Amino acid sequence: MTRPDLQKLLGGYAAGTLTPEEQRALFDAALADQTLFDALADEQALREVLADPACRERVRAALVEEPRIAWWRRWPAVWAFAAAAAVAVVLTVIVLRPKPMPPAPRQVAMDRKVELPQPYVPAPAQAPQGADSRAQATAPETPRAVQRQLAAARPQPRMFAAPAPAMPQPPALAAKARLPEAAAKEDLAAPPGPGSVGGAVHAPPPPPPPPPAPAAQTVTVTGASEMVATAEPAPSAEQDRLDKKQSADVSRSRMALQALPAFGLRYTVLRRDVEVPPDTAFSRGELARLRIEAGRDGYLYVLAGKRPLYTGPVHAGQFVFLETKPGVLHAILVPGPDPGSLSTLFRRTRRAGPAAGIVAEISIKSR
Amino acid sequence: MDPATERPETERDSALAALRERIVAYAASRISRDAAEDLAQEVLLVIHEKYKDVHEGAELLPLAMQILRYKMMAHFRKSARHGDEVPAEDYPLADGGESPEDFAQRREISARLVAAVKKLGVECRRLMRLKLEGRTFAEIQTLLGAKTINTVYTWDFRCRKHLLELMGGSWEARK
Repeated sequence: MTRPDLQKLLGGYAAGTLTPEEQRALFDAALADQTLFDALADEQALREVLADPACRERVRAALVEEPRIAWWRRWPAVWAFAAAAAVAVVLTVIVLRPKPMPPAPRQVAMDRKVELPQPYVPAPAQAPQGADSRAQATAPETPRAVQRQLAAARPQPRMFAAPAPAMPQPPALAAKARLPEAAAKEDLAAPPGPGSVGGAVHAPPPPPPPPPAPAAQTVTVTGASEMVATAEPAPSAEQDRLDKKQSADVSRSRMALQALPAFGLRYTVLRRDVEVPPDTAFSRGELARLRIEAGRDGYLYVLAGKRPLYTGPVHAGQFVFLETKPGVLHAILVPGPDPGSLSTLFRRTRRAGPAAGIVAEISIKSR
Repeated sequence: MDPATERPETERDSALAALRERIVAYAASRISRDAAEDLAQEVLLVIHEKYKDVHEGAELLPLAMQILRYKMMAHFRKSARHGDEVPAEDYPLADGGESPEDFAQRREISARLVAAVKKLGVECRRLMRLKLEGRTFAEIQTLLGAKTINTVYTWDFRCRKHLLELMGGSWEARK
């Protein structure tokens, strides 16, 4: 055996497991090799311990025992359960953590633009420059007209309105339509300004001076059945005959007008009583003030989800103020109180179409 | 021919001479040279007086190892009590029996060994257990499925080295 092999036999020397041949070879080599002799001498202590049967059995028993397991390796099921519970808690916190509200998609109620025939407008003294000037030129200064002018001076709010199909109007009716109150109502239904969104019944810009014979003229009517009701014709013999003929037309028109879905709805967003653009983002918890104005008399519902913020009658030109948190509101303007459930009012009105009322979605953004 | 006795040198004489040389070298690396010479003389004296019938070197060597260890332990004990200068005549001859000190030391080594083997790895524990059960390296090779016996030697060398480290670098409790 080579010397390295003999070195390997040292382990067997202490344990006493060397064969007689291996033992003889090891001892002979140790007599000639000081290093091997030293190693053997060092092993003598272990050899004596293992030569004692009691000690040998004690060591052997220790080797048979299961090795000690580190504390963190014990009860692996318990540790696995604890880890799973911790992960579940973390996931729950992550999932249930309030997320920042994504910016609400900008939804705009748009009405189809109706091509209207040329409306009849009596010849003003001067060519009007816009809707406001038109109102001034055609109507005397009344408190309501003053309100219109003030509103026109403010930033243009959003406006929603139902389409009002053009109706041919008798010449007499056309003449009556220029009465002050009717003019004021027309002003509300005037097309929105540059900052407005949404469709409306458009009254085109003031046309050139009207032709002398207005019999063929039509006028835009925007749910203004009251206009007809408040107009009083000037008494004249010639017109009596015409009025008799036209009264039937007026009655038919009134019935038709009453069936028209001519509801206008306009809202303005206020922040601390100052008008702001509709897409202004409010901070979380900040209250936005809404000013809603109906285009005509009706019944207004403002719902936040299924929670009503306002329910009640509204009159044309009358403001309804609301305070609400940022979110999406539904404003529904119907001709009269709705007997059904509020939770389905929005859906029902939308499904019924413009004839049943105006449905507007008001989105107030939050940061 | 031995010049001192003027008789032919026998195998026993050659073995004892080699043993003396190894014992002196080993002891001198741990105690003083003079003490190592005296120690070797004491060992050979015990062999000469008690083991006259043992002639072969392979048989004399384990005897010499055992006597040498007893002498070394006695030397260390006396040094601890009286200092390094221990007269050679104070060394007691090995009487074949075990002193209470030797028994206590063996128990101490045994306890340290039990504690150390519990820290060994699974493979080393298995190898050591087979050795303590009296298995030869060839049998261990078969039982552990080693390809060659040299693999078993290597495993044993590493395990013993690890065990020695776990015991603090020495099998004995004190040098």
